[in-house]
Amino acid sequence: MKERSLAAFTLLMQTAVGAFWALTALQGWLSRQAGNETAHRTISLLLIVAGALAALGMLASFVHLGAPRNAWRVLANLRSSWLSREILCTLLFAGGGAVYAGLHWLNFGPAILRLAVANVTSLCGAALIICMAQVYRLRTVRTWDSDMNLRSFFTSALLLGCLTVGALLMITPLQSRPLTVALQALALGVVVLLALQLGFVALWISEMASGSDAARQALAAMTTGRRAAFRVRLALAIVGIFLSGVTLSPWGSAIAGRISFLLAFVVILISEIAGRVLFYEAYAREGI
Amino acid sequence: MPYAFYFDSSSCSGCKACQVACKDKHNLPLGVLWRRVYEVAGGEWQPQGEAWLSMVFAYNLSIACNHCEKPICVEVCPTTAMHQRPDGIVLVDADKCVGCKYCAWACPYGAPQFDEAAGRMTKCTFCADNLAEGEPPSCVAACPMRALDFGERADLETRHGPLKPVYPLPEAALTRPSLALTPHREATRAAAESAAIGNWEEVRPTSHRPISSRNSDKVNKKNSP
Repeated sequence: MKERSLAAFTLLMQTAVGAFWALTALQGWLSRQAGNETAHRTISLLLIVAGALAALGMLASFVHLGAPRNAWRVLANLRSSWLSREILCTLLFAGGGAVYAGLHWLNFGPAILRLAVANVTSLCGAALIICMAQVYRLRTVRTWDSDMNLRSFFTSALLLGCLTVGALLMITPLQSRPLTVALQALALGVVVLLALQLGFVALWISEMASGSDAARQALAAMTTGRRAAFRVRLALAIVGIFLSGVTLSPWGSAIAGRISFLLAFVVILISEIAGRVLFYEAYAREGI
Repeated sequence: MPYAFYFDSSSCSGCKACQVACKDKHNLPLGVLWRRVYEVAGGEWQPQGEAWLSMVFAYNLSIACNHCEKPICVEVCPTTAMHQRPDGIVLVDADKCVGCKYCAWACPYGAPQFDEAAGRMTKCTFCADNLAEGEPPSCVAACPMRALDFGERADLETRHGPLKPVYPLPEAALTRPSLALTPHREATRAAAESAAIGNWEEVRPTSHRPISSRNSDKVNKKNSP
C-alpha cells in the first residue's frame, strides 16, 4: 500500500475530531462531577492531545505531496474539488480548536462564548469528515463511490475519539467514581459503534459482492490478497466489543474495567488501522 | 471547436512508433508515457475432434489523454493546475501542481503521469505547439499505418460515429472522451472472454492500479516460471 500517509492523515484527523466532540460533550458533566479546577486540567490535557493528533495528521498529509511548496495553492478549486474543501475544513477545524484552547487556557470570555466556539469547531470537524468521505467518492472508482465512506468515517471518528478520551481520563486527577462512570459511558458508546462498524463492513462486502465484475474483483483482492488484514480487522473488532463489555460489567473491579478499556483501545486502534489498509486496497479504478 | 484523436484499432500493428515519437518529442523520463500502446489478448485453443482450433485473439489500443468533455482530472484538482483550454485541450500547469496525484486516481485512462523526479504530474499536451504551427501531433505524424488521426471532435464523430464500448476502455459516459475509434473485430469478444493487457509491465501507471491490471496480474503470474 502506497497510501500510508493518507491512511495516517484520515485516521489521525478523525481521531482528533472524535476526541474534540467527546471533550465538548463531557466538559459540562466534568465540571459538575469533579469541580472546575479538575475539569479545567482534564480538558487542557484532552485539548493538547487532540491538537497534537491534528498536527500530526496535517504533517502526514504533506508527506505524500510531490511539490509541498505549492501546498498553499490547494484551496484554489473550492468550486469543484472535494480535496480543496477537505483542506479548508481541516484548517477551520484546527483553527477553531486553537481558538478554543486559547480561550480555555486564558480563561478568557464568558462560558457561552467558549461553548459557541467549541460547537462551531465541532461542526467544522463534522464538515471535515463529510469532505473526507466525498474525496473518495469518485465516479470512476466504483468500490469507493458509496455512502459507506461517510458511515464508516463518522463511526471511526466517534470510536477512536471515545477511546482516546477514555484512555486520557485515566491519567487525569479525576476521582475513581466519576472516572468509572465516564469509562462505562464511553465503553457503552464503543460497543454500539463497533457493532455498527461491523454492520457497515458487512454491508460494504455485500454491496461489492453484488456489484459489477470490477467490484467483485476488488473484493477478492481485499479478502484474499489482504487476508491477514481482513481477519485482524474483524477479529479485533469482536475482541474490542468483549473488552468494552468487561468495562461495562457491574460485577468487575474498577481496576479490571480500566485495564480492559486500555486493552480495548489498543485492539480497536489496530482493527481500525487494518480497516483503513483494506479501504485503500479496495481502490479499483474503471478503465486502464 | 474541441480537438479529438481518432484511432483505428483494426489497422494498428502495435509498432509503438506513436509511443516512441511522443516520448522523444517531449523528452519524457523513465516510467512516464503520455501515449501508451496496450496489447490486449485473450481467447484459447479449443479441441475439435482430434484437432485443436485456435480461438485466440489480440489487438492493440493506442491511448493518450482524451482531452475529455467532462475531464474528471480538472474537476478534482485542488490547485487548478489541471485546466482545460477553450479548444478542449487539457493541460497541467507545473508551476501550480502540488503533486497530490488525485488526478491520477480519478482519470480512467491513466492519462496523468507522475514525474517522480520533478514531484509533479505531467500529461499529453496534444502537441499544442505543433498545432499552433499547423502541424499534427507527433504521435499522429509518426504512425506508419495511418491508424492515428486527429481533428475537430464534431467532425470525427460525424465520420466515425460515437465511441463504442471497447475492452478495456471505461464507459464513455464517465468523462465523455474526445476520442473516435474503429474497434478491432475481436474487441466485442474481449470483455466476455476475460482478455488481459499483455504488456502491463510496460504501460502501467507509475502509481495507481486500475481494474484492468487485475486480469493482467493473473495472466502474468500464470505465465511466469
